[in-house]
This record gives sequence, structure tokens and C-alpha cells, in this order.
Amino acid sequence: MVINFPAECTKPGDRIAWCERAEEKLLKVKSTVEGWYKAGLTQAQYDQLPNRVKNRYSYVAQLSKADTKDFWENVYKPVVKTILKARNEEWAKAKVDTTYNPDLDGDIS
Amino acid sequence: MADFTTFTEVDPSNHYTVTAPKVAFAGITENEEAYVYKDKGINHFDGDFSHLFDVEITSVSGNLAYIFYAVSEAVDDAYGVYLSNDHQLDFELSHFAGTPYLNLTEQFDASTQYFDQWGGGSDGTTYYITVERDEAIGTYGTLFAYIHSDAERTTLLDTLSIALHAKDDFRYLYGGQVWKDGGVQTATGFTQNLDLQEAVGGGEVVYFRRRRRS
Repeated sequence: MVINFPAECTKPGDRIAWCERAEEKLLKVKSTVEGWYKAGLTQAQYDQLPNRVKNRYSYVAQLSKADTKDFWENVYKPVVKTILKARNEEWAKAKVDTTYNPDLDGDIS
Repeated sequence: MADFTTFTEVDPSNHYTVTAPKVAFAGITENEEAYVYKDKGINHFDGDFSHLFDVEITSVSGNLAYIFYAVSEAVDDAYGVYLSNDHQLDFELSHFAGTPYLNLTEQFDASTQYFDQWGGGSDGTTYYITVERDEAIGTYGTLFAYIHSDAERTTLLDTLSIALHAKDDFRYLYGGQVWKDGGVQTATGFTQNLDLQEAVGGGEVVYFRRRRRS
């Protein structure tokens, strides 16, 4: 599993921002799937889920415990690990990126 | 489930109360050589692992750090491990300016620390943690922590990660560890329900003798 960053997203700072936003969106999907298991989901709410989820689980009013566990192991974890691996790599690049030259006295007051 | 009464308690000021499922601390400071650990044997924690435990910081009197859980190369307080250049992976509290931050931390050789942090929590709330090392991700593997708000681990609050800096195996397991840098602020809370998810009798080799035909 690899990340296909948008063409304009080339700098470490931009890619870190992309990863943070992707993780946040994924967390919201996770919350929706948890809600699907605990309280059920409408068809309209289901339609808003990413295809990665819909292609794996057909619409039912309430997701089973087994499918919720399957989502955790086979959807959430692989995707979040891919995002965070990329973010960590961009962090490492950002640490040695000399685009900016912070003044530890003047820039921090 | 780990039985903390089988761990070694180093607690000169009697701030720990250790029961089978729980390491509770009350009024612990950064000014004491205190920790609860177990020698699991050389290179016990090798490869991938997934450890479950619950943590709570009930109250603090000011800024301080405290380690809820660790796997480590050394027996010492966390600051001692840091100063001695030993490798340790831990999950810790860093309480600063009234906010409890939960940190996934790698203490690495050359006294270097790497961490990822979640600051959305509050004192007096129990968090349900899963720490996983996945050696297939990155050069030296990646450490992840999933922070849930419920014991069933269905409500995820955040996922933390660190790209590790060495592929080391660890011997010592901690259910609590002070960061002894001389601070006098106090903390009260606990680590409990540590589940290493290791098979019972793991590592034991059973031989079956082949019956000779008569």
C-alpha cells in the first residue's frame, strides 16, 4: 500500500499536512463504522463512506461484530499505518530541510 | 494477563500499591528511584508484538512526566535509561500547563528521544491502550499506539506512531517507571490489565518420540 500524493504536494511540510488530514478523515470513517456497529447506519450515511469500505461491506442496517473487527484489522490498521509511515518519513525529511533558517532568538519571543 | 505481583517493585518511598492486575501510584514524584519491572529473559521482546493495557492519571500537582509502560534494555528509572544510552520503548504521561499529554516514546542510544503525542485527554479518565511494534514497516520497524476510550476498544481517540531507529530486542517489561530528574511535583494514577497477548507456554518446545515399529 503506497500513498499517491497530489502532484502539487511535494514539500515535506505539505506532505505532513496531507498525512495529518488523511489520518483525521480516516478517524472519522472509523467513528462512523463504530456507530454503524453500535447504533446502525442509514443508507444515506453509508453512501458517504469511502469505496474502500463500501466495496468490502454491503449495506445493512447494523454492521456485525465480526465485520467491525475485520474493518479494524484489514481496513483501518493497514491504511493508518501507511499514512503514518509516510508522515514519519516526511518528518525525517523536514528535520534536514533547509528551506527555512529559524532564528532561535528572533523568531521565538 | 500479566500478574504484577510477580514483578519486582523498587519503591523506596512506598508510593506504589501493586496488585495482580494493577500498578497504582499515589503521590509519586520525579525525585525517587521507583519502578515496577519484570525480567522476561534475554531478547524476550523480539519481532512484532501487541500489548494491551489501561492507564489513568487521576491527579497531578504540576508539570511532570511518568512512564505507564515500557519495554527496555535496562533496569533503571526512565531518566537513568535515557542517560545510559539504553534503548527503551514506552508509553508515558507528560503533564504540562494543566494538560495531560499521552506520549508514545522511543528512548534511543546517544540520549535521544523520539515521540508522538496526543493531548486530547483529561485527568481522571481511563484510557485503553494498544502498543504494537510492526517490524515490516520502515527500516527498523514502526511503533504504534492506539488510544481508545472504552475497554472493548471500539471508540478510537487517536493513533500515534514512531519510525524506530534500531531493531533491538528487549528484556525488561515495566508496569510503571519514574522519570527521576529531581522534580517534586506529585502524580496519582495507575496502569492496569496489561495483556502481552502471548500464548500460554510460549517458547516451550514439546518433543514427541516416534514409536518404533515392532
